[in-house]
Amino acid sequence: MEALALVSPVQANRDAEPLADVTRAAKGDVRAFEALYRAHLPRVHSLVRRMTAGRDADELTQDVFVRVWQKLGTFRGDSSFSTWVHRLAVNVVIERFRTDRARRARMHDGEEIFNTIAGPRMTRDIGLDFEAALEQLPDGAREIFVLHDVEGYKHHEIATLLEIAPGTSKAQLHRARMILRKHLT
Amino acid sequence: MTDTWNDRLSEYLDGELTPGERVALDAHLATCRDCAATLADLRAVVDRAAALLPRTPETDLWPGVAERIDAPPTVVPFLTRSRRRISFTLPQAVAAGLALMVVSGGGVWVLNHGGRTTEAPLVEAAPQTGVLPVSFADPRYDEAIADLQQTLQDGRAQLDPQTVMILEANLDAIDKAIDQCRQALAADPANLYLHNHLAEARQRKLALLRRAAEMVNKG
Amino acid sequence: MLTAGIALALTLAQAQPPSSPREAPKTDETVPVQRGARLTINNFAGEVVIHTWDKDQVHVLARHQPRTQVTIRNNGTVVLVSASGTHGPQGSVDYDITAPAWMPIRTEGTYNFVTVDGAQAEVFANTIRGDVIIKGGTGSVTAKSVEGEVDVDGARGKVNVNSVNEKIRVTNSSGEITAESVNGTITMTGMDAVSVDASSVNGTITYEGRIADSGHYSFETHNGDLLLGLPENLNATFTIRTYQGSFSTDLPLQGVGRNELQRGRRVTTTLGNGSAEISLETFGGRIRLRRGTAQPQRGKS
Repeated sequence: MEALALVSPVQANRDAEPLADVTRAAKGDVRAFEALYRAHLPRVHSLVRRMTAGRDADELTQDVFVRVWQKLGTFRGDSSFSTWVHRLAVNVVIERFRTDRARRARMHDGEEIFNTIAGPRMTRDIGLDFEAALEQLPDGAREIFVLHDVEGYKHHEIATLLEIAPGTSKAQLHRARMILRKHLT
Repeated sequence: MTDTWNDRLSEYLDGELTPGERVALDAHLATCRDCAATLADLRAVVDRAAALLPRTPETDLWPGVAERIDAPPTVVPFLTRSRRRISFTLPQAVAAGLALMVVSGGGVWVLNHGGRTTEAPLVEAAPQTGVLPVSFADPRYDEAIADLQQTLQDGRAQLDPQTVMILEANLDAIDKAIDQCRQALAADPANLYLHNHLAEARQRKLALLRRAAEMVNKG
Repeated sequence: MLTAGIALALTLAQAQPPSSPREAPKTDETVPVQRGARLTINNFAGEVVIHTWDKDQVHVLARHQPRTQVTIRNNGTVVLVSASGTHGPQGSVDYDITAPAWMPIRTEGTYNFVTVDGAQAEVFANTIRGDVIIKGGTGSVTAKSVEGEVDVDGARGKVNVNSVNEKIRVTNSSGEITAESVNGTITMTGMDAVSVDASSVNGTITYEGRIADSGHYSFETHNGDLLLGLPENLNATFTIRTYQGSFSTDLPLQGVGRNELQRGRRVTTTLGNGSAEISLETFGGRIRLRRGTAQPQRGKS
């Protein structure tokens, strides 16, 4: 399935991308493509990592940029390039989820699993900050929280992306927020 | 008894209630301290989420991308950029009076040699055979390891010698695994499996050190 | 009167056990409890053996040194059993406790050998040196030891087992299993798990049991072997990665040859409708998938 016409509001407000690199990359200029890759890597990888709780995040990020390279010729300029990349990234992650039938069945994970996470450490080590707490949410709740609260999608858009009911999206978002509020520092 | 409005607080926050529902919940919030506090927390969660910043991955993923788009590498993989090839041997580390993580021979638990250790290179030594590039520094990880090892060093006497021996043996096993990963990465620097496996081994070391530190703290 | 006096003296003599200077002091106490209460035992060193019964009472029998005092506190929510030294540090205490089967149990200590038999509620046992043996347990079952073996049988729910150095055995258990060791082997047999997350650095991981549709099973080592005995008519998607290990199977899996399994490359292959997810990763260990039993037959590798 190719890109759905869904635009992350967060992305939509970004400044217009210089198109020279995009044009050159679309013609096969790998150096130009690498420049685009490096410019967009942090946001793409962060989205992928947060959606997947780090599982295969690096490989999926590479999948995203390979998809970008393959689809460069279809970029029309009717959105900013960063918006277009971001949309492809969401689709690549969702496609991975769609091949995982079990994920939809886990939309109802309970909160108990979160209670097994240890509390603050006594030493100054890598603790359970908000980002780490996010990655440890149950899968369904995390995916929806990232799409809604981090990336700015609306529930009807998330419902289309994840093939769930809007009510499920709302319930999972609320569940995620209720879990995460315990880990605000 | 669960407050029935509790489940609607997110919708309230996102402006998704009907006007009638919003009025009713406003009235409820005026009288329910718990719901008001929960709403404040949810608002804080939303604010925190909006403030999350993008982070660059620790591994350079470009070589893998370049390989898949059939492009010749135009950027030298980061591991070979460094001209400084750094290695340590155990006698050097001890003689220098520094607590350094041994690269070629596996890690050495600080309790034997004292002081802090870190996997980041600190000293340039004379090139030796079997030299490995050591650009795997992760400051947060190194800081956590150093912290925990200091805790252990300070509380070593509180642990049973047999327990110390068991912990050392198992930390050594993990360090050997880390070392094998690094050696493999030296020959295969863009290998994602190795990078992930190395990260997992480091986390395992961290977890075991935490457990040991808890033993010390419990006395 | 003299006869009656002698009879009374005899009766009293028989009622009193013969005193022995070598017999350890005992604490023998029974406290009533109400549903919802939890049992917590903090014991620095010794043996903790817990049985269950159908009475709403906790019976504590403890053997200890004279300088050690055992205290049982019951605030209605928690029954806390602990010991302290009356003159200086406490000595070891051996507990024989009988508690209601419905009662959640938690025991912590340093040099503890723990046995819990017959619990039908949550069990948490954590020790540094000493074996942990749990038979039963429902909901959340946690068994941890640094230097000792961990043996869990018949647990149901979220089962979390951890031994740093010694072997871990989980048998006839169901639910979500998490097992971790550094050098110890992990052996899971007779399982009915819907998810498994097992990892070890050098220990061999063995799994025999049901693979549930839509279940998630993850097995990961550095150099330890991964041995799976899988049922017939399996519906699973296998994801296999090894850097310098080996792979063999008697299952009809396609595309998992030496050429595919190179340098940690991820290989995915499916049986049936691919419903369950089985992930197998090892840096240098052997991966063996077999029908039925996980152990190889004699004469075969």
